[in-house]
Amino acid sequence: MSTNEKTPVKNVSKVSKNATSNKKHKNERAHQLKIYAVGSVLILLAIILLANVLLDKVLGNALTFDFSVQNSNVISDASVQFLDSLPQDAKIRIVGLFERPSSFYETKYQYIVPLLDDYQKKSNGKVTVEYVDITKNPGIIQQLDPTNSYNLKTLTGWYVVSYNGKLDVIDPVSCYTIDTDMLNETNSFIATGINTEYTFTNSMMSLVKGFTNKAYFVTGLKENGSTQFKRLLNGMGVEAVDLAVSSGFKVPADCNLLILNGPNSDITEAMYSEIKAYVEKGGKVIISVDYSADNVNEAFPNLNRLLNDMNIIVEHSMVSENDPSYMLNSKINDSQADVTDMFSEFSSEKKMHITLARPLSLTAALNSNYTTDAVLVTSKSATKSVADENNQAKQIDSNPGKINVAMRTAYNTDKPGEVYVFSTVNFTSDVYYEQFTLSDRNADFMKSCVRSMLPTSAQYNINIPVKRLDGNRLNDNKATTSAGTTVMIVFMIVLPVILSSMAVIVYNKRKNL
Amino acid sequence: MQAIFKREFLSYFRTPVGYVAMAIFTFISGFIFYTQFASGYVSISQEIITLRALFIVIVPIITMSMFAEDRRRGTEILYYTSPIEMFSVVAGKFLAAMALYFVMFINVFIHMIVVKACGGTVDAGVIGSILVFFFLAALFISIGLLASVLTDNMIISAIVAFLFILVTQLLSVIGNYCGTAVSTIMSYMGIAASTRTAANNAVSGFIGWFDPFTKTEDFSLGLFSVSALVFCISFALFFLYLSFRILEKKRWSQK
Amino acid sequence: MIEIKNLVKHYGDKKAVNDISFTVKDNEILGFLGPNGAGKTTTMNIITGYLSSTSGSVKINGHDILEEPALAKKDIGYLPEQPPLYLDMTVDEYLKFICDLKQVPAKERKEHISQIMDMVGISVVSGRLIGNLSKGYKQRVGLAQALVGDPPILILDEPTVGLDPNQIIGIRKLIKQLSKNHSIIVSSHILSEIQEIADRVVIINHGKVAAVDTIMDLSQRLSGTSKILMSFNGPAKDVSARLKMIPGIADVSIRNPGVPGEVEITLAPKAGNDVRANAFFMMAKSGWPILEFRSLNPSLEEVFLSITAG
Repeated sequence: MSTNEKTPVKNVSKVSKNATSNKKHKNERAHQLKIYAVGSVLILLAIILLANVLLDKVLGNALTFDFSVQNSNVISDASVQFLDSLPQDAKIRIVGLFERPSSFYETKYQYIVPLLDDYQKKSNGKVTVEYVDITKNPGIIQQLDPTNSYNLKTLTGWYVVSYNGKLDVIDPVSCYTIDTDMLNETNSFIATGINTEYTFTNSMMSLVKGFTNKAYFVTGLKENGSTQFKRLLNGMGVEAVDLAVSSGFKVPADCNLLILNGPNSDITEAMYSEIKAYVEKGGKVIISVDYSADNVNEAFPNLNRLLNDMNIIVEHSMVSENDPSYMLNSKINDSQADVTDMFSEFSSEKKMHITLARPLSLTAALNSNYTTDAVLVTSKSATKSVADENNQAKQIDSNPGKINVAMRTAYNTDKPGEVYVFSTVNFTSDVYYEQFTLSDRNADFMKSCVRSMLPTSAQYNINIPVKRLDGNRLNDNKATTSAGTTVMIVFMIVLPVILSSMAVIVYNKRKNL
Repeated sequence: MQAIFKREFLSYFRTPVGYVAMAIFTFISGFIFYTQFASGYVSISQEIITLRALFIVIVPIITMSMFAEDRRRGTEILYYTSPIEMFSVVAGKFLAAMALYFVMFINVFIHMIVVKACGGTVDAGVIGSILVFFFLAALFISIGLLASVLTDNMIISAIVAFLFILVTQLLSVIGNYCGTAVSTIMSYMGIAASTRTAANNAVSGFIGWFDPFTKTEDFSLGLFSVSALVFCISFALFFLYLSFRILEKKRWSQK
Repeated sequence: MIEIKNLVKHYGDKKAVNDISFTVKDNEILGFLGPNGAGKTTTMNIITGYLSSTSGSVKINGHDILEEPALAKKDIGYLPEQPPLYLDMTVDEYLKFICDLKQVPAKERKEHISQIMDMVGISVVSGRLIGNLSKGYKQRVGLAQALVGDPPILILDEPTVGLDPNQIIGIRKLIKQLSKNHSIIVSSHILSEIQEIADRVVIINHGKVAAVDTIMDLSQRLSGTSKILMSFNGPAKDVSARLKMIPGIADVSIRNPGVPGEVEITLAPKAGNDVRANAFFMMAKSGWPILEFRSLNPSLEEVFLSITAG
């Protein structure tokens, strides 16, 4: 009886098994197709992911081609040669005091970050590039600058180049040359060129070679700061130290260049003798003065005596530029001055930026031991003014003519002593370089000037031409405002309207077909 | 495939869709060009890069009816019953959208002529930007096409495409959020800070790797990265293949 | 020629098509009938390649639809239930596109299209937007689409729906014309139409083939041999007795139509016997005028209803 009961159950299960296996067989084709479809999609995805990861991580850099503006992301042979010339165990650290940006397009790092990576790539391990966020890792400051001479805490966003305990700091903005016209007209910074490579290679150069010249800045004459100009000199391998005014003022024996940067009070008699002797022994001097509120009441008798002995008169008045094409922002005391032919090699620009300048002229009686030449001259429409009681400019000499604003005088020996006199502080002041940066044409000019006086420093200065960016600049004569308006009207109004009306027309026409 | 391509491309101009897309593109590219022109500095590369932002608007418009409409109107049966490979249908529609993009892009060529006429320069970076633009367009169109395959309602297709593209554009941001989220969760679990940061970076790096915009941003600088282009094309192909498979599924589906 | 063998299509647990087999010979019109949901559309979709069968095979002129899809599909013109029309194209543009799809050589296209438009009667609307056409015209454009490329096999789902009686006649004529050198499957709910044009009929129900035969044979099967209705003037009983004596007649039954003088008799012949001539001559010899003489075949509708009742 139990067997009978059991068998029906067995049969039922057999029947249902058959049913499912039949169903499986019937569904097989669909099932197979499904597996094939899903499988092929997954396999394709896997292949694609694999191929992409491989390409990216393994071959990524090899398959990147730089067609950029004159290879602005790749270092040139000059830098490569410099890197190769370094000893194998040289270790230069470039540290960006910020987190490496993941996306630096359209930031000031656009032309810097990739270029620095190229230094690292081509240096055979001699140059390393890192990015350290100083808020997260403040220890880096101690590492790089143990004596805190550079106050790195305040320099977030800057780069530090470090070699053997010696340091240089680089502001990314200084890696660009600026369109000065745009700056003057619209106060906006448009980069016209990149000199990242010049800046960094020379920075490394001067750190490695050390200083080859020493410049002394005379302090204690109520002058304003010289930090920027010192940096400019550092970058040329010229050490810059202060030399305080004292009763026993002496120009040190190792002084290659003496600088009076915008004194607002007169030098002493002792200084007069010292400096004159220094020049006549072949020394180099840069003096810059101007006519500003700080010194308008100062007569400078000793300084004047020094300069008069060298054929130069610094007048007690202010240059007023009247030629509009030389004036900047329609100001009489903020203008451009021409570089004279003799000094045209100092810059590719023909005009320099002067502000609040004093007229310089030759003495009536010339000292034949000195050869004196004009370096910068105004337009032929310049006049002279003084400040009246209300600090307004009052014209004193209405005969327009060319006025010198920079001169050079050289003591005629086999090792000529040279003095450059600038009657504007735009070539040496912090105020000027903080606004216009050390990429400005004035800085270019000064570098050439210094190089001409200190030829040994030229050896240790690699000249890497600026890579121009301003190809994007439109020709102002063709891209006029009216042309712009035409562009706007055509592209933003006319064409869209035409297209929209075509849409309507076509729609209506076809609707009724 | 030619038949499908011709029909789809011409249909863009038989209905308002093509003209509207072109009008939007012309207007916005004109605006970008004009602002640059007025400033005196024109970088066509920059203009092209900025136009990438338009994908999210234009692509859904031109892809929304690609397959959704066929499904609704019953014309998809033509694709299944004609002696034509389904993949060539997908390819034909895809190429029609690309062709429309090319026509829209003529605007930029006109801008280039204006720039040259006004003394500006058009440099190598422009070629890179153009390449990137079209490769990215391919990627996004393939995404829009997939969205159109998934539904038979045009509006839903447009919305889905919009969302897909939005997510793709925000992958880096999403990656960062996910990384932070993972890190936060791990901090609740008491895991050490260094592991947490590593995990954070790993997750955000992984997700962010897929972001096509970061991969291609250097093109405007003149840096051509082959791997970025391969990325765009291979994923475009993947989405097209996926669309093709989904279309084929209709045949043997048991639902 | 279309060969369909053991076609099965599953949707989940449901079998939409459950082992369907039949053949369509060259140059014949096959009527395809079945109640809604019987699996007609699914079957036609499978034959044309729109769907894949779960199992079974479809061979179009020797080409298996799954193994040689391009070759098989080239030979098929399909008019589905909802004509696949692009409403934003004109008739002309649309047919040009279909020519493209079906790979009609470019040189022949213009003429081919105008030929088809003439055949189907849409030449007058060739420049009009399909979306603006009436249902009747739309239907005919759909039919035109199936004819593009002159495929030897036509599968038409409700080809005359939406057409007015004149147009219907025109299309029927066209289909009959085409059957001279095409194999055609026509599916319709209008049974009288199928009755008129189809050579054979396949009736499917619940996914299975319920009947496959010529209409004549089908209705005969249902009712046995065709009965004959005769009404005449004459004595009912005498006539019926005489008729009963005719060899081949199995039964005679009398019905009084109610009209005085007229008698209605139903003759049931024995299986396989055609007694009409004998009956006529007998009546003539006896001098009883026949007023009405016709075969009583069950209509296709009756056949259909009885077959699909279960």
